[in-house]
Amino acid sequence: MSVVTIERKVLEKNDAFAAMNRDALVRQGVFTINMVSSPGAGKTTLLERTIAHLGGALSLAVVEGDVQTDLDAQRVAKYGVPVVQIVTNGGCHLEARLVQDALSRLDLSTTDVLVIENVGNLVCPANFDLGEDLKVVVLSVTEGDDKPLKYPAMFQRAAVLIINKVDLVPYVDADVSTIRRHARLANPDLQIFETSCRSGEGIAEWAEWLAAQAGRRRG
Amino acid sequence: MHELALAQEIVAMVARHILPAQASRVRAVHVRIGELAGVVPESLEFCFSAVVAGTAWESADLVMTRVPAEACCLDCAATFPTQAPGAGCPACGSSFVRMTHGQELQVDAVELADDDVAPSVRDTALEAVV
Repeated sequence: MSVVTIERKVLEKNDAFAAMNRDALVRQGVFTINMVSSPGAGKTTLLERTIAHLGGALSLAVVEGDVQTDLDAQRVAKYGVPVVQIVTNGGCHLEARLVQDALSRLDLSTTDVLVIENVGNLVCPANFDLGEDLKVVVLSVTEGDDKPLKYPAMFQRAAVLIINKVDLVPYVDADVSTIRRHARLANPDLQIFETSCRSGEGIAEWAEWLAAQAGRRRG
Repeated sequence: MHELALAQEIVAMVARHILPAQASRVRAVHVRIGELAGVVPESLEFCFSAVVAGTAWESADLVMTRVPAEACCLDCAATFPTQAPGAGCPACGSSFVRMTHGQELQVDAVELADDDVAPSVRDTALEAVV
């Protein structure tokens, strides 16, 4: 019996594509976020509100990842934003190579902020770097305040947590301070925003923070 | 469900590290999986066997080494084993801890049967030992 030593990360190929994506995006001055959440947490609506708030101030582009349909791309396209839909046909997460294909269909030189909306799934997308500057995890209050403890990987790898649907707090058992506490236990460095896409609460704060990050990239 | 993608990557990586002529001699693939890597071992094993089914490595085993989760306290720098965030530092009680181990996802090595032994003979011999 002989042994061939390998000692390589399983995802090194994905990581290599992610590094190429990151290089291309940074070189063109694009600030990129990878939005992740469970299905139904409100990623697309939050994205719509963010686009509406930033209006003409920033040039956004969107990559939509879904298991099926281009419904999300249709929603986003109504705002006049360039959007590329990736349909994974059953795949539970986006991979860097898929995003590379999508990038080739966007004009990065005129883009300030790229939003990659990942497949709704709080587990699998955590492992796959896409080349983003940071991951933004969206958690709606209806999902319960235990989720950061039950799905820690996603919260550990994210830089930003958006607690969404805070207008529903009076009707559910979850409370925002417990979500915050649990999220910080998973990742003490998380930047946390609270939003409601119905009332508009918190959208300005989040959108302007995002714009500031992009401004720093553009210099 | 991403275990299928991981299994495909594992097989592709091993294929890149051995010679084509060695493919039929692959007996086991050793991988290192952190407890917090978000990987279900049974699912990865199932997907691995599905990926190699009908290939020269159909009888190869996937041998998984689990890496225990370990955290480091950001306040007192103690390191300690932990299963999940939320437990806090056992030394000073701080809740500001960072996971240091448990997210590993790596292919360690591949075991190849010896050249001069026909696979069928080897398998019979192995069965006799087990």
